[in-house]
Amino acid sequence: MAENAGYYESMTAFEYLNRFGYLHSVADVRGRSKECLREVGLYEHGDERISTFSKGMKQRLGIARCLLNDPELVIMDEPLTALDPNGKTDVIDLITRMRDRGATVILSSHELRYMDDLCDRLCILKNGELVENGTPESIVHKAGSLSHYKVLLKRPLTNEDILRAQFPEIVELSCLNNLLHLEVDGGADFEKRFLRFLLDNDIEFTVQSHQLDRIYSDYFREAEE
Amino acid sequence: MSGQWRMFLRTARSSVEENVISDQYPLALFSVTLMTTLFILFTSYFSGSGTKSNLSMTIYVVMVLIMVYAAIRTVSSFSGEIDGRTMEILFSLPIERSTLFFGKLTGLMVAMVPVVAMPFIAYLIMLSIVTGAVPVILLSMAAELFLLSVLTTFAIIALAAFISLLLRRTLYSLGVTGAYLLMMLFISPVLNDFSGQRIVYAPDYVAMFPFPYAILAAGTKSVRVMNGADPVLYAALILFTLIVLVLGLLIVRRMEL
Repeated sequence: MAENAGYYESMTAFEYLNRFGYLHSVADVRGRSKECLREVGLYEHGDERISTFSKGMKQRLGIARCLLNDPELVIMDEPLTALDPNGKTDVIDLITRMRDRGATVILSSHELRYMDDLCDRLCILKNGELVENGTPESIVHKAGSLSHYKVLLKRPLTNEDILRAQFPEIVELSCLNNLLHLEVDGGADFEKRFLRFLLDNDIEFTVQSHQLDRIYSDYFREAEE
Repeated sequence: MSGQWRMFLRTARSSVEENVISDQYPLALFSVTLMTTLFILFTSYFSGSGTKSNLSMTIYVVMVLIMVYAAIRTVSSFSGEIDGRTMEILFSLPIERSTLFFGKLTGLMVAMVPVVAMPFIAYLIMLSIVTGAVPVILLSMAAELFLLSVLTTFAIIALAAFISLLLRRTLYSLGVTGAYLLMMLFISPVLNDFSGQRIVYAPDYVAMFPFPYAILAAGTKSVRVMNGADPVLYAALILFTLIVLVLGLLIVRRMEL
């Protein structure tokens, strides 16, 4: 499934799948097309022209096309690009179902925050060369003991020193407006203690921790430097 | 039947369906029928020319429209697929590129046959209504002209496919194919004059392919189409079609998207 692949915009979703099912020599093309449309949640839109579809619906239709001949291997190029959050969730759900059905899915993506849950194995390519290969956990582990956190506070932090005193494992701390950046060295139970601290002090927050994004950025920052 | 043959037939059928269900197809059938009817009525009323001349004149005019339509459909079937990024999906199917290329072309050619047949059917129906019966000689001439029209359309489809694959962009391909058709329309009478009227043909539109036609005809004293078609004419059209098909195939096999 290519990134920004084209669709026959004047066809309906059902006609589109029928055409590719026929070219794939799928038995009972019409039945299988309906099945695939149902699977990606587009059955109700089967008779609508593709030109009226949103980007997310087209992406789901592309996945339905991939499902037609029940493939053992699916290669997807940036399947999450330019999708809204709901669209991303839908596509991730479909990829997970393909994987759970036993298909091998190879996908390339820059949306790394979704990859640690989605992928069994992960590779990072830099200038066409493989620089990392392993499970998401092993890559995070290998990247070092430093953990990065972003905490979005409801109110700006008034005294950073309290945090530094309470948590000596914090090696770097910066707070810009309501966004707190933390770099933490070790401290196995840091997350638990830190959350307890926030709750005890009645600080409302949202924690964002995207280790893979950071690891990826580090590789490319190194190259730029 | 081998796998690729089956895939060829599937691709061809899919291409026929794609062309026949397009919005332009019924419009094309209607336009050529209407144009034929109006042209026959006009020429019969004003010029009072003979039936044979009427037929060849009518077909000449209608064929210009048919060739433009064939070129548009072919360009949208090749450049359109490249521009619309659907060609890469087709290339990812378990179909060899040559099979895909010939399948699409065959589908286009098959879909064009009814469009080419319409003016002949309209002409013969009108003639039988007016005169009560169609002379046998006119029937044989119509059959001969029909075959030539079909071959000419196939040649245009092959040429438009070659230009589309070469230029890739729909707009450029339409421009170049259209320019070729226009150029041939203007150049053909000049070439005919240069040939010292040695080349005699009834349907002037065949002169839209003057290069292979003229080269092959140069060795003969004259090439007659009416009252017994010259095989050289058919050979020239078929040779022209085959050459551009081979060139198109070479491009499609090496194409990177």
